Amino acid sequence: MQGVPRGFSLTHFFPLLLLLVLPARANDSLAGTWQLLAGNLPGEAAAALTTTTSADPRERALAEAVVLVARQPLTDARLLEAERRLNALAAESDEVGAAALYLAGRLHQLHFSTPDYAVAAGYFRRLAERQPASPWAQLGLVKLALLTLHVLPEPAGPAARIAAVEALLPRVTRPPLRRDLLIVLGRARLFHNLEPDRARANLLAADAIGGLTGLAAADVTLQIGELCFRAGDDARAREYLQRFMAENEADPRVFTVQQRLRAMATRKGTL
Amino acid sequence: MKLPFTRGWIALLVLAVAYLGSAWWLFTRGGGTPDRAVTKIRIAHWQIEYGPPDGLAAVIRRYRELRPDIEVEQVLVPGRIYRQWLRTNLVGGTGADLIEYGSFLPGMRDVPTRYFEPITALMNEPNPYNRGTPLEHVPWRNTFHDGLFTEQLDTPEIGQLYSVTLCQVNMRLFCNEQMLREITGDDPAFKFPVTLEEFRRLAVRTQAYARRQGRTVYMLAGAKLNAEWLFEFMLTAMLMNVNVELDRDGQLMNYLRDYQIGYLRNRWSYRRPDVQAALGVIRELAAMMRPGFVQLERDDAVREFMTGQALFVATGTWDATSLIRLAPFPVGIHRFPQPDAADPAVGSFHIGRAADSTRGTSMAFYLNNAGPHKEAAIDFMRFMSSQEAGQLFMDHSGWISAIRGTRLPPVLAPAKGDPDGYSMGGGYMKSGADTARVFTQSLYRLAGPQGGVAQFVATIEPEMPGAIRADLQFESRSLLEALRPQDSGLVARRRLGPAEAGRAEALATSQTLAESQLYEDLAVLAESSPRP
Repeated sequence: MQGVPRGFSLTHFFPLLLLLVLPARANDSLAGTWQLLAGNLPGEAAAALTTTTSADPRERALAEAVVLVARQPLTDARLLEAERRLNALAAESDEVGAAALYLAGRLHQLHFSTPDYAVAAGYFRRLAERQPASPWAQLGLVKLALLTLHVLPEPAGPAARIAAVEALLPRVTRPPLRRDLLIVLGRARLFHNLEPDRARANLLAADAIGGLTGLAAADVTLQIGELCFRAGDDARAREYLQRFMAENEADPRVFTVQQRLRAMATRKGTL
Repeated sequence: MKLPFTRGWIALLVLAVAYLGSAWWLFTRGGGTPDRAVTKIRIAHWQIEYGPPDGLAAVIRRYRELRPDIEVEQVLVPGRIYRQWLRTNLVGGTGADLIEYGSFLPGMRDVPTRYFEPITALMNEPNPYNRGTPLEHVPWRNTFHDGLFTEQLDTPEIGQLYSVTLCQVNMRLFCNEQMLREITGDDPAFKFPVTLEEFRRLAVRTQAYARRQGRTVYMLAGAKLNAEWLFEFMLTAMLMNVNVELDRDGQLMNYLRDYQIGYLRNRWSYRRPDVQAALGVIRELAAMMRPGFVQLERDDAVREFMTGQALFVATGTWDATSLIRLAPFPVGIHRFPQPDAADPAVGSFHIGRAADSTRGTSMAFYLNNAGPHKEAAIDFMRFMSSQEAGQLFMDHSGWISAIRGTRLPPVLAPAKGDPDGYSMGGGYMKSGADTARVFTQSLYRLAGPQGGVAQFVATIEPEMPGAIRADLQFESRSLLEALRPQDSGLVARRRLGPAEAGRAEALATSQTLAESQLYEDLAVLAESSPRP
């Protein structure tokens, strides 16, 4: 064995290997719990937690709170207990604390029988101010944008709501989340029938970031093509519609897209 | 101890013969194999009509030959109790290993997220059961006619695939060909109606035939469901111009919520002249069915057709096997006639043909995330969606296979068709349970001899806003139920580190895009809520 000192055998490495294995085992056991939660098996995750002894206490506390949120039947009392635990975890500004603050916001946004959007928005704002670069804070800003666009009482009126979300955009720097926010913003403009040109620009910016897959990618490609067609930007419309055709051969909209391309060739079509 | 030669060798010989005999028995008689050596899985579905159970049974028999260590049991559950059966068994942990599910099942939108496991990674690999076929190196997902487009549309998590499909279905007119020949005689000019106007002319000839025969013959067999399928398709085909108007987002497709939101935002109503003209055509079609058809079930329509009291029955290709096997006359399969620009009633706003064929595949089976034998279940999923099994399923069920490269029997060719029309969705007759109730309960006012379009519209318009709001609320609640479990899934995936980072990112995107729809729905519900 070249590179190994004489008189040294593999058995000398055993204590070192043991040191490497022990923490990995501790992680593995909690990893099993997270795997079960990722697979929507909260009952099994709760059982796994009872046999896990060697996990980081904050990570473990987060897992316990997540199990509380995920298990059925869900009650507001159990959610209140989960919120209390999450707030305790949020006292520290680490990633576990960030995840806890985010999830506390989500409880009020989606999980309680009566949502409180203002409280949810408060959690997301606090997280973004405290740990702006955390992935949880960045995702929280996207959720804050959704609330601002549609359900928070202030700002009132579609234009003001969209302006408020435009102001959030520079703070969302993680590319996939920025892309999602651009799509949400573009679609909100279409929903409120405001500034279709800027909606198109939002979707084009989202497409430039890339990374979408499946139907979401197909929808954005087609939307850009169609909005360009409506705006008379035939060159770009053709580019996106042809891309859609190439990538989505089995989509039932292919026939309609073919008619669009034909209409552009003559510019007489009305559909 | 040394055995005496004769006794010892005889004993050994007896033992060897017994051993070989037992081994022969075990290998040649499946029933003799101890139960613990066989993995039993169950596949549950509601397609209990003629065809699919036979098709699946043939697939299971062949699979047993290939994998004697896995036994597949087919569980047939009647459609009317399927939702309750499914929910109860999933909650109780007694669900089958593979389960048919459809996103159209009311109030079940949270089921895939909670109880089914995605199979996306496997879908990107070739299906080993396609070895030796042209699909050998094709990723599993691309071995389906539609590349599993419909499943992507319905997935609870964008980018994730949860299911495999077995068949393709379309709506068609099934014709008593013998009666059609009697009606049209030897008219060399006759060709099967392609336009609505030609269909009207055939209806007139059918009435004349009935008078000649001195008995009642209807153009269309009538029943509530068959009428709903036909009417919804025809409304969609006639109102393609409204479909285009409602496509606010430029997706060239409207979902049910787009019809609900469009109505609540006053972008369409039953008072529009074009919608009223289309309702006039529905009145014409209703008059081609027996009076009181709204009270009748699918079986009644089939019976009416089978006994020669109706020339056509409008139904899905899922009924093809029953009709062809049981009818005492030759049954033809035809596409629905559609209005054209020359149509006297609806031609003025005609845009083009509606798609009556789709590459979309259906009869989707999902993997139970709590199933005890997932590996075996996935193996059977692979086999049942292989080219060999697709052919077996089609040959024994009479249903069109979802799998590429399968050979379509000539009799089913018109059932398949080509996607040569606009496909933009539809929801004029029903966008949920409440709108369906209002429309159908008042249908007699449209179809009855004393009724008409004006009476019908005057009856349903006051009720529709409330019904559409109720349907949109129901959809929002269902979406909320589907979104909730994703939060714990997202936290878990992010805590699992880089290995799950991609899936976590896709889940976050999927959830955000779905939530934007949810809040749009809530905003519309708020702005359209009745003022006190």
